[in-house]
Amino acid sequence: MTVKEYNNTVREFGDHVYRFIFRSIKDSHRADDIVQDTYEKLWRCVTEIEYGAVKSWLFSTAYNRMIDVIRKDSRLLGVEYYDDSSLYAEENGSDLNDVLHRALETLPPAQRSVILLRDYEGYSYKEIADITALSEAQVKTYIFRGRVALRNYLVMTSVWQ
Amino acid sequence: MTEDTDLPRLTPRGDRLQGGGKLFRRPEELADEQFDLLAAAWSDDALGGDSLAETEEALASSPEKRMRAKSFRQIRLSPLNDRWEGRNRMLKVDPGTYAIRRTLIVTLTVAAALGALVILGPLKTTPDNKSTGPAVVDAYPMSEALIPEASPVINTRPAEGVTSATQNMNQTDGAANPSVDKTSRTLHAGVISGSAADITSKPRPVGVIPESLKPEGIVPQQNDITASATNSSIHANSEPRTTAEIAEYHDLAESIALMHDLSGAVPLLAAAPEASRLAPVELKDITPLPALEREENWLVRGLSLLAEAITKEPKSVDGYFIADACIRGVNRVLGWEMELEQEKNNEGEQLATNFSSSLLTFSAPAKKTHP
Repeated sequence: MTVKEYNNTVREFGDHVYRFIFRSIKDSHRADDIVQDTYEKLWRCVTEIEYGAVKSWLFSTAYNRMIDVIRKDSRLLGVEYYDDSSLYAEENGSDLNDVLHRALETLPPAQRSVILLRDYEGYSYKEIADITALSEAQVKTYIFRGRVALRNYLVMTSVWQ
Repeated sequence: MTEDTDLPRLTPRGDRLQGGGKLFRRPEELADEQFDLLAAAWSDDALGGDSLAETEEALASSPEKRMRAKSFRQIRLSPLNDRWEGRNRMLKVDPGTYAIRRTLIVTLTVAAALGALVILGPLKTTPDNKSTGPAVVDAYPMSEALIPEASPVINTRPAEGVTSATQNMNQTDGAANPSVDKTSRTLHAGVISGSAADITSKPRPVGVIPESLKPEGIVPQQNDITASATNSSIHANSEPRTTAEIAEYHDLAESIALMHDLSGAVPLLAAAPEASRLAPVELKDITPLPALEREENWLVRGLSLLAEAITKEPKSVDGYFIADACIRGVNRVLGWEMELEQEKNNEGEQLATNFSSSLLTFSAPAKKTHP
């Protein structure tokens, strides 16, 4: 990959990787750090990576880095990163997409990530499996369960009857 | 070895599960949670073969379930307007652009240096441009304080007026200040070679102030200053300079500098009388130099005098001094943040010259002049 192609990846995929990480951990500073680390790593091995495969590489590297950060935080705080105390406060007058994003925050990180990769980036189950190092069956399970949970959130918050 | 077929084997009998038919399930019998998972997969087009057929069968049997399954198709996240703020930080400059920018910086720096040379160069010393320079300094030629004996810069064939001016000044100055060597007066007149005739023919006004330095309403008119200077007999050519006159000259220079808020220029304005303490130069020691080289010497020594007069420290003007001044000028004009610095050891010996900017940073080691 050339320097020009590297810069293209920054312009083309930078926002994509950032929003994937940011929506996964809901922390803009950490998301910024993770994406920056990812691109630093890409720059160090810029000559070894083909431009066609760089998008998956970016998402995979950023995802792994995010998992490391989540694990580290869980150890430091002594609590589970995933907070299951979902607040089903009544949603009123919000756009469905906004409500879904709030509902997304109630999901476990693994489900959240695979749904983001599926919906935001349109990756196939196989590609998501490669990025997240899960099996294809696991990816499907996480996605379907995640969608059921999102639907339940909509019903619980009276967005859907 | 015994064959496996030779051993006795158990053969299953015809035992059958009684009522096993009760365990069969139909798709419409799926629990809601089970159906939701199936519907989510169906909405994601992840079902195929028998699974898809059975689910379609269940959906067909119940409009309510079909509506429920279709609702999963609406559960799709669209990206919000999340922007990565640090994106530009990660962009790298490719070598071609880097080389172009580097060349551009060097070109601009050289252009600024040449511009400084043109502006600060000896153009102002020509008679046509005299009015643009500070005449207070010009009235007492600063070259006298600058030119060392080793490499004087002067015309070897001064005009006739120079001789008369020299004689005139020798007579007058020598009378006023006998401690001053007369040969220095010779150089004094010779340095302003181009205008030597002017000096002898007409007195040059002391208080000519450049237009660019005149704040409105504050600066007295040029005629006033000239008149004041004339009344005080402070002329550059033929009038004798007594101690009182020199003191008056100091006062006048200081007042002019204060009026223009040029406190740093006071030592410069007052530097001319102190020039008489410098070593004299004989005309016979002077060798002719090409005009261009003479102008370069004039520039470098002029800068040296300025630096000495303002900082009151001995300054040697070299390439670094000029380059640093140019870089500061470029920074001021273009708002850049380039920096040039010299590394020196404890003995004051230069080790390297470092340059840094947002695009380019380099360090050039100094050439060793001593082993």
